[in-house]
Amino acid sequence: MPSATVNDFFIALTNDSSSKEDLEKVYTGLSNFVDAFNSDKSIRLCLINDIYPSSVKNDLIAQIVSDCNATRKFLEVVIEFNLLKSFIESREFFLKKLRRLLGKVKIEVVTIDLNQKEKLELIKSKLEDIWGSNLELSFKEDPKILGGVVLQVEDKYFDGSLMGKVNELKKINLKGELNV
Amino acid sequence: MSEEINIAGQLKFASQHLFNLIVFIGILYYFLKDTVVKFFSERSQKISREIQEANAIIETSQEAYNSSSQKINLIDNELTELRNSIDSITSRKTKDIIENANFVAKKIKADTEDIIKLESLRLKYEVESAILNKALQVAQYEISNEVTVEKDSQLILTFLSEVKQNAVSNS
Repeated sequence: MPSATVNDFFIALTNDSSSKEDLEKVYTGLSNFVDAFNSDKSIRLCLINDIYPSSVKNDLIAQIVSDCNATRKFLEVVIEFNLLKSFIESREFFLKKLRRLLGKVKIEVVTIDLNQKEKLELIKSKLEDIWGSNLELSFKEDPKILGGVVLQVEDKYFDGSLMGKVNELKKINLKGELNV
Repeated sequence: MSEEINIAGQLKFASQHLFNLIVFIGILYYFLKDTVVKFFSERSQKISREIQEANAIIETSQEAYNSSSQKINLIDNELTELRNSIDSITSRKTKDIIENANFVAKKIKADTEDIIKLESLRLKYEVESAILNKALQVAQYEISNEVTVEKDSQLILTFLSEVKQNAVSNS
C-alpha cells in the first residue's frame, strides 16, 4: 500500500480551506512557521531531530501557529507521519503553491537606502501596476548595489542595479569585445 | 826356427777357431733360420700395418682438418655477415634515433612556441582584466558619489518600465 506524501496532506488542507480567508489564514500560519523555522536554530533542531517526542514538537508548533487550527493540524499530521523533513525541504514550493491559489505574488526588493519612503512608495505602486495589488512585498537594503533596484519576483530575478551594469561591463574586454 | 813354429801354431789355432766359428754359424743358421725369417717377416708386416694405420690416421686427420677449415670459413663468413648486419642495423638505428630526435626537437619547438603564444595571450588578458577591474573600481567610486535620490528614482522608474514591457510581452 503506497504511503501518504506531504503533497497529499497539503491538497487535503487546501481543499478543506474552501474560502479565501481560510486559505489566507493557512498561508499566514505556514509563513509564520517557515519564518520561525528559518530564523530560530533551536526550533529547527527540535523539529528535525528524531530524539524529541512528537508531543514536544506538537507543543512547539502550537506555540508558533496559534492563530490557524487547520495549519496546526496539518503540521501535527505531517509530524505524526514522519514527513516533517520532506515538508521542510519543500517548504518554499508549498508556500508558492498557496500564493498561487491566493493570487498573491511574493516580491523581494533590494535598494540602496530604506529611509527614502517616497521612493519605496513609488516602487510599490509601479510593482502593483505590473503584478497587481495582491503583493507580498519585502524591502532590503544593500548599499553595494550602488543605485537602482534588484527584484526577486517568486523564482524570477530582475537586476536593475548600477552594480549589475558594472558587472555586465566586466564581460567586455578592452577592445570592446564580449567575453563569453 | 822357433818363430816359424809359432806362426804355424797360430795359424793352426786360427784355422781351428775359424772352422769352429763356421760350424757354429752353420748350426745357428740351420736352427734359427725359420725363426729369424719369421721374426723379420712379422716385424715387416707389423711395420707395414702401422704405416697403414698411420696413413689412415693422417687421412682422417686431413679430413678433420678440411672439415674444421670449412667450418672456420663458414664461421668467418657468418662473422662477416654478422658484422655487416650489425653495421647496417646500427646505421639504421642511428638514423632512426636522429630522425626521432629531430622530430621531437621540432615538436618541442612548436609546443614551446604555442606555450609562449598562449602565455603571452594569458598575460595580455590578465593585464586587460586588471586594467578593467581598476577602471570598474574607479567607476563604482564615481557612481556612488554621483548618484542622487532623483537619479536613483529615475533609474528605478526606467528599469520598472522595461520590466513591465517584458511582463506584458511575455504574458
